[in-house]
Amino acid sequence: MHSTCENCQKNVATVHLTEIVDKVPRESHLCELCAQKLSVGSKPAKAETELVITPAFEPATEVIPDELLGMKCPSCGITFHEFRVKGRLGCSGDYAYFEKGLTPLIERIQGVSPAEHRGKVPPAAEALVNVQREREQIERELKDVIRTENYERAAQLRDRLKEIIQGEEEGQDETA
Amino acid sequence: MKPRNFSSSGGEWLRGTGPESDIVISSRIRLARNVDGYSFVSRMNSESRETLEVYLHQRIRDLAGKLGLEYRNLKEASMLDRLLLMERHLISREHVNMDGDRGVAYTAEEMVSVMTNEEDHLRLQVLRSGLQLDETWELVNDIDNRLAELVPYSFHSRLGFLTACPTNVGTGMRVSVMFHLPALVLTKQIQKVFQAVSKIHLAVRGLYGEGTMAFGDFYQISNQVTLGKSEEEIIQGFKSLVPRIIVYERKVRDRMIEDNRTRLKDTVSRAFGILQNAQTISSEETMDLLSKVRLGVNLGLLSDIRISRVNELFILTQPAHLQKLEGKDLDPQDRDVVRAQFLRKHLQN
Repeated sequence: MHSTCENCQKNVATVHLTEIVDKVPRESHLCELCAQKLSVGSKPAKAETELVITPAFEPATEVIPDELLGMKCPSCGITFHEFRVKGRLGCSGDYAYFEKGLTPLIERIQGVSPAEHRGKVPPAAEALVNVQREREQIERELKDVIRTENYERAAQLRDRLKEIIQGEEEGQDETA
Repeated sequence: MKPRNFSSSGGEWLRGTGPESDIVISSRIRLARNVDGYSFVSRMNSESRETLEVYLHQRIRDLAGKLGLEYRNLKEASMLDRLLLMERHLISREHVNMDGDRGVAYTAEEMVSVMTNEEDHLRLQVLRSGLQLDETWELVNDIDNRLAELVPYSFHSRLGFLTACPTNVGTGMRVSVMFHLPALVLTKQIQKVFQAVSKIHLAVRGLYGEGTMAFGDFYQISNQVTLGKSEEEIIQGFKSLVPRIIVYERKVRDRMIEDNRTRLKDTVSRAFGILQNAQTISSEETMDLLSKVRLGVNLGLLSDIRISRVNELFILTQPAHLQKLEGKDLDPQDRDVVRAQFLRKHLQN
């Protein structure tokens, strides 16, 4: 997983730089000594150059299958390949449409697994998020109680789950 | 399109009145938001982008009353005016250089700015003097809540706020604390800060005043992770790190004074002398010397100038500001002469 310093070719690279030259990211990997020697972060930059020192997240390891790269969002028309080249998604629907390719990517760049939002929720989405979180909680608990053969609790949970699913379906009917 | 006396004074965040402002220049938080039902900016056709710009402008106007936000159309603004706004940290470099409908709304004291149709439909920013993370979050959160009542945000129950770039997804929040660390740079210990910072998944960025020059001893620390942590948890990460950097820089400053007060006073006084007398001076040299002057003022070695003035000069001596002052485009050589004139005028005893 660790790379070797590009400068001295000896030490483990712990300083990972992404230099953006003419909007094209160029990566370099240096050990701390060489980074200090080359005094990265204080060298005068060229025009349109921005120096970003990024933390040592896991490097890209996922192999993207061709069929995924060729997928095209029906809403905005962007392909997964185009996204990988430009680094920008085309619409909010891409997060669902490219989920298979995006999830490992998001988990890697964000250094978090599973990828789950824990911050604020806008008022309009609050009810939906609460229901969803309750549903996930129930599904988890249901597995536990079935394993421990607590059928009384399992029945209660199933009833609640049914209510939630019914509520969701009604909600969908209203918006349809 | 009438920027208020932009060429002669800076925003609130430059006043140097916030806590720890001898070392922490500013605290900034920005939130990335997108409007449900529209493609992201890079994928929009010009028609729907124009529609969205008008829509957002109206919503911002509805919100503007209490906040006193003033909207400016950036598609119509000149390159010079856009650069001016960037130098003042009101818009991003990307926002300057992109094409198409876009705008910015900001308050008179330049503490709040709302960018429209940048990489995301909305970028809300609050920028305050010194170390004021809670206050900064409180304000930007409040603006976000109010805007959420007027604009349907793109939001996913598992992934949070959806953004054009997955590096912003979740909270859409980027916290940036800007430090002035001349003693750590002079004693070549700045690399230790980089290491400590990258260990806890924050990023260090050097600041480049005009894209061509290093910005004297200023370092910006920002969060890399926007997902899987609440906004408060992200801020907490800064709260545990920032005081350690402050203590470190202060300790090194104290030691420099103890070791050789005369030499340090000589260094900062010479820097001041050059700024007071130069006939032509580059942006890079100006930043470097102003940084030393700033250190000198904060250590009580120089008393002829207020810190707020030093802070402002970092911004006011940048290219777009000088050209605005002169009312015309200047090539770099002419700029260096105008910069020296400006400095002589403002640093007279």
